[in-house]
Amino acid sequence: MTAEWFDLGQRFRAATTGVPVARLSHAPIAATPHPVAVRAHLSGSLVTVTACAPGNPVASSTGPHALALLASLGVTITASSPATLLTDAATTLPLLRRLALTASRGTAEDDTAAHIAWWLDRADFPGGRAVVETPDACRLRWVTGRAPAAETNPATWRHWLDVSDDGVAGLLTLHQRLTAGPDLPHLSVLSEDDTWAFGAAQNQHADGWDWRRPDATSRAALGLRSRCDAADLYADALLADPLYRARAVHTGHVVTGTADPLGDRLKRTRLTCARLDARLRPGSEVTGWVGAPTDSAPHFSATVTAAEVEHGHLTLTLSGVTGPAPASGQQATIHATGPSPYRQRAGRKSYRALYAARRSWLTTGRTPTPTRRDVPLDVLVAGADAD
Amino acid sequence: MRTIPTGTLAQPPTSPSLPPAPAKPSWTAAPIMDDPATAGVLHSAWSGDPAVVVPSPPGAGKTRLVALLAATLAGRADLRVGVAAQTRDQAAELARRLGALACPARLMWPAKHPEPDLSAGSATVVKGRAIRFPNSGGGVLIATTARWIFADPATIGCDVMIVDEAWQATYADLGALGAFAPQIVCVGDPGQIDPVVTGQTRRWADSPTGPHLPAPAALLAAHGDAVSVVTLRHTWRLGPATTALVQPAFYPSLPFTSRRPPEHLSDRHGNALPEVTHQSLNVSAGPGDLALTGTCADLARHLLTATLTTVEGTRPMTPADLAVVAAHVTQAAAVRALLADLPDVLVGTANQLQGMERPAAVVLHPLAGYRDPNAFGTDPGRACVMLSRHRAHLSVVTDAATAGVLAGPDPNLATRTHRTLLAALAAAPTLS
Repeated sequence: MTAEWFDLGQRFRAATTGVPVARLSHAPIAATPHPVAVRAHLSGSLVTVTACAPGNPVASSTGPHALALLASLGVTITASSPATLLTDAATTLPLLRRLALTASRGTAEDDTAAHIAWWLDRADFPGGRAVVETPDACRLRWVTGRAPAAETNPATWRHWLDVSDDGVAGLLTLHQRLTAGPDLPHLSVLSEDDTWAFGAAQNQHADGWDWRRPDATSRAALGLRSRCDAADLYADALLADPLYRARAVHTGHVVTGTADPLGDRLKRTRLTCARLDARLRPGSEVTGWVGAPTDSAPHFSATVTAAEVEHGHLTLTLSGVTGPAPASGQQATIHATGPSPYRQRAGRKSYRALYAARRSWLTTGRTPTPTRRDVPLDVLVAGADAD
Repeated sequence: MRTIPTGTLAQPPTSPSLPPAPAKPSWTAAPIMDDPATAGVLHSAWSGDPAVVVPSPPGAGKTRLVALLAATLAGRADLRVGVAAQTRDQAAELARRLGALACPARLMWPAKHPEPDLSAGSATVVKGRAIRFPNSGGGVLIATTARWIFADPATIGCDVMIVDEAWQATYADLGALGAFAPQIVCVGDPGQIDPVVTGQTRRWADSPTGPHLPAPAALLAAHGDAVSVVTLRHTWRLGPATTALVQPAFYPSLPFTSRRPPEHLSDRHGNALPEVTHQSLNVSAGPGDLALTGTCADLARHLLTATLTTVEGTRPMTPADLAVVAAHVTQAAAVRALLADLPDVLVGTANQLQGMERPAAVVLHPLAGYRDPNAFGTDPGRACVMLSRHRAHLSVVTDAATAGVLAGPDPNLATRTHRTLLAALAAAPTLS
């Protein structure tokens, strides 16, 4: 079985039953208190926005009035909490950026533009607190009986999730479907990060920071680090979902096998794997449990110290097994241990400190001035012909 | 960007005569002076250039250069030298090389991981409070980039930071490393796989100085006038045929030539095998098609019947002389299973085998089995790594449909590169 066959099987099942098949048993995005559904298109050279929020009717405006419309729905950097953008087209955010660029500095429209800038930044962070591109989120949660290409079309999801309203208000209904059920783990951590980032954006806006300027070296570096941390955390959150794990067996991210404890002082266990395509290598820290990939059981932790193919089977040696270790002959499931949010924060703090030190021309972005040293003549002679 | 000027020995107007010929250098890292390019790197770093970038083709001796440079700057110039590697294995290998040069380098290593074997050299592993430079004179501290970034520049700041495999480091990480030293030396291969970045990068998609970009590329874009560039122009690994295949496709702005001593494989009848061969297959079951992985395994076994001739003589090929490189973990796993009776054959993905070398390699073309020119399969860095692991012989397994897959309208640069590459491979002989 490959992941492609697994996907095809789910797709055939959905086509047969007429009901979308779940890829996750958890909600992939967090429910948010302040969703704003938006569509945007160009009217000549101006951007027209159609938007609504719970308790507000659908409205449409063009050009500067569109910023006012968004402000009336709470899209302003001065709001007490951020709005969540719901959209069903990848063109929406670029068009909102174009709209935001029309705002003059220091105006009420600029406050809305700054909130749009926050969306532009946070759209790269998973978890759904800032921006939800609904077709992407739907594809993460379900599979339909249509061809994969059809799932990029919002109409497919409205049809399969029984959302009759094809206007922006229908996005609010779709969002409710997406956020139903228990959240994936770590979504609260990601939401906290979004909230912290909104506060930071508010402070920067108050201090006169101009979001229109390209990122400085340090801001870009920290932005990348934060994005990678969020992506790594989200990837780990997905592995906490039993349905996701059932598929991940076929991509080598989740490994199942039969345990054979060695009973030595190093607390080693050999795991004879059911498949050969494990992504785990010597040095990998792993989390595991007794049972199948879809089971929930108390976890053990270990380190992979050897990986060998014996008689056509991959055998992983797990060392330092701590927690409820599997007994001989028991089935066990393992995957790479995910990142710790605490350690991620410590890493970002360390990164920020290096960039804040201002002792380096690289961290400040300033062009350096050489400080010369005398070079021995033999080095001068030997290096003279370098290009 | 500037290059190291030639003619820096112009006679000063007040000097009555040329200085006496310099004495033959005698320190253990003296071989850095044997080549003008490596000596140019040393001159540039020693004289205080804030940034030196050393683009290098595969097999040009990057690790050797890093070791010689660090040892010389610490031993002769009394500088504190930091070395940032991209993996623990690379860091340990650098420590071994420095130890072999009698350089008392110190390797920062995680306390809970088993210490690497540094052989009998003078390098040592340091942990915890022992992580520091010598109290006086120069010294070398080695660690992964990730480890450096968790360190405190106030306690282990250095004069020069040498970044090994710098094209695998992001510009963001280079900036963080910059907090440790006023001088940076970036050594690496611009043709190989870009840094692994898990987060979204579209915010900087149009920026030549984006934080996700390979560090030297962004450094040159940001501070080109302040960066000295010394190019290594010879590969000691790749033979002439492979150089002719790889250089135009992946290094259009880095011309290099082969200086590999003569090496070849011979079949059981004593006939020399071509340096590059290919085998085209009809594939119907995608990248996991057993025809692909089975052919790779068969070719590997076939090559083990050959003999290897080098300047040291002729001997039978052994499993440890051979690598099989695939694009996907699943493909590599399938080949590994098919070759389970030959555990010494190195089987892995391009990412896993980056930086490794074997006398012969079997490569499964990254687009084999695909029916669309996807970004993963057409990544030039991945193909470049796969096609540059061998010294004497390369066999490439291709999918007969790939040429059609690449023939679509509006090809991007990666697709055009693969078209050129595939045409060159198609012209290579088939291994009989």
